[in-house]
Amino acid sequence: MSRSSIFYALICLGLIALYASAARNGYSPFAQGGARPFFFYGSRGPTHK
Amino acid sequence: MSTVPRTRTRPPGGASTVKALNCPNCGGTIALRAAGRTVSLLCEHCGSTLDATQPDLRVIVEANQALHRPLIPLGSRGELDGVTWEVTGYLERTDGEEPWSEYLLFNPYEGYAFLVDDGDRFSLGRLLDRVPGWDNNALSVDGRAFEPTWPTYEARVTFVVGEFYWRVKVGERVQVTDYAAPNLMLSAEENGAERSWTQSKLLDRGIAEAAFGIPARQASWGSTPRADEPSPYRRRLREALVIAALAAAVLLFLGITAPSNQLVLTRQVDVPFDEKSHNVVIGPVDLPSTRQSVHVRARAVTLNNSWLDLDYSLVERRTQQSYAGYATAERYSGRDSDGSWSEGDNDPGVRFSSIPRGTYDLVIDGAAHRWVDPKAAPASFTPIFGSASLPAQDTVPVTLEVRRGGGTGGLLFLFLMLIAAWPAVLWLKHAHHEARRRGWAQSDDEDDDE
Amino acid sequence: MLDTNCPNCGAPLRFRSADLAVKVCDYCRSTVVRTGEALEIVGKTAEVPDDVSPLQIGVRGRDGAQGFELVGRVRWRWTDGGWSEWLMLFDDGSHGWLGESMGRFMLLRPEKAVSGEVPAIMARGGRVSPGMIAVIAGEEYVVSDARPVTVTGSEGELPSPASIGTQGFSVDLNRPDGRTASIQAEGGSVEAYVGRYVTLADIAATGLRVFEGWPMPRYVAGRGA
Repeated sequence: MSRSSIFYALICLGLIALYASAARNGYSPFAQGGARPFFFYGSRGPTHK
Repeated sequence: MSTVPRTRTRPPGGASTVKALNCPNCGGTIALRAAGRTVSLLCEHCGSTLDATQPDLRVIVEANQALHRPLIPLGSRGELDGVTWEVTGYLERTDGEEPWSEYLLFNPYEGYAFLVDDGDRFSLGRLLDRVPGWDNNALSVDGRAFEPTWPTYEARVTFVVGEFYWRVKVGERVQVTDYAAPNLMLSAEENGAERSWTQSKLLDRGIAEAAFGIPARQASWGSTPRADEPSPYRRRLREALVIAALAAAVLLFLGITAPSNQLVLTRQVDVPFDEKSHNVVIGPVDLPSTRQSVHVRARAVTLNNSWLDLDYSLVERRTQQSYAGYATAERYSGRDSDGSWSEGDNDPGVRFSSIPRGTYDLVIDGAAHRWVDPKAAPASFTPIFGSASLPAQDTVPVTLEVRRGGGTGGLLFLFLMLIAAWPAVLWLKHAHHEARRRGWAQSDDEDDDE
Repeated sequence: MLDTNCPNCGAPLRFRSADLAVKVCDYCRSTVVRTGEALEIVGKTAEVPDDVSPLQIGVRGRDGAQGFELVGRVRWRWTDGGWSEWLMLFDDGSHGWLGESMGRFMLLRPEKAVSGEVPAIMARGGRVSPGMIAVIAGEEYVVSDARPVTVTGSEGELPSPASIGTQGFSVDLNRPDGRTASIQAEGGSVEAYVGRYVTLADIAATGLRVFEGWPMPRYVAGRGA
């Protein structure tokens, strides 16, 4: 296997892990509202209307 | 196992294949390397053509000028693909635009081969013993397909030195047609009386140079690929597609087996028309996972030529952490010159992503508004508030459904696109290489006899 | 099999097959023809000039399951070249010719069923040109080459006398599937042979000539693939 393909395979593994993590955290890229990316601690935003 | 004694003495280590002779014209020392097979020999010292079919060399064409030495000198030996070859002859040909060189290689057990030098790459050619067959629109030899390339062209010999098994001469012309396969080329050479087929193998860079002791050549960037030069991206593309398919399969598996959403809460709410704001709080919305997505669906099926503004706030009871969303439910209908029409989504959904664990309330701030079709028959009173043909509504009933979990479709789509990115890049590079390699196709537009 | 002596110089002579009635004496180069037990000298043969052919008398090979040995050779020439024909004596007593030209080899077996325009023209001494058809063993072959030829030397055992100066006419034919044929007219008789191109590996030739500085071909046992 060529070097670039090995690198790509590793990237894919990373993407799968990222997907699994995002899915478990209920992340949706097309969401309108909700939390900031889950790895940012503490949401900033209005706490009350 | 023969009972016949040898009539000529042969040295035990074998006779040499090279005979040293003197040119009958200039007296210079020349070598005859393929006695019995060589027909014409061109003396490198004086350029005369000598007849090698008689026991004594006779001058056929007299000349008086030393011939220039080829890059690989006559008599050089080199090993290619496990076979040792000796350079016995050298000629230069041209198609009228580009020149190239050919070395006639000899091995007493293997016969002859041609080492073709186009100035950049070397190819090793052997005569075929049979005529290739046609398979669809390509030539086929041993199951391998060769695609047609540029139109037939004339190859003319411009320079000759050394010995050959045919009566070679400067100015000799043949009609050549080339066919290409990855790293292989099939050439048909015809001079009216007979046609011969040669199959050439494109040698990797440096192979021929190392075999015959000449300096290696550097590849130049951006040059047009040869007809037989396979795309360097093909192998990587195939590997990337396999990896992408596996990764996609895993993602799809994860996506399909993901837990689907669960309905947490459903409530009907009445939203009044034209009030500035009207807050309704529904709850509790229990979100037990560390984080989850929340989907709020608002169904307002009774809407008719009106719309609904909905401001959502998902507020955690203990921390008062709040997440905002907004939706519009709308439905419009009417008649015009094309017939009746209707449009608008009266069942909008809003997704909140990564909501932390907790017990939430959904605060809904809704307001309904009416809409009047400017193309409809004018009403007798100002059209802003209601229309005479419609029953007056005070409120719009909205059924709200709050769900948690699920909804990974968008995420799956995003990651499948990310996985596809690298194979897509490779595919584009491969397609670009192939388009440049097949540059001859443009000239074929008027030529349709194949 | 007949072991006897050359009527001219007395050197030992062996005739291996009744079909091969001619033997060139290795020492005095007389062409000796045998009829039954009687021997007759019909002339002297020129020696084949030394060349770089890997074949020599005594080389053994195989055509499929049939083994053969090269027992004789005739060297022909035309205006622009020459070639050798090696006589193959098969283990079952039949014979064929291994043609060697331009470094390529053609294995040919005699074929009696020949008809068409080409043999007819050749029988009456007419000119044959490329493109003409001959039907050999029921199949069509197209002429690729036709030329007058001369014997320039011979050695070993041969089926018919071939001494220097024999004039003949040789026609090469082939088929799209790669099979080749050769029709030769020599002194009024027309003979046809059918065969195909072979490599030394194809016929598993052993006993090849050794050349100084040239490794033997890879298929020869002991050299590895």
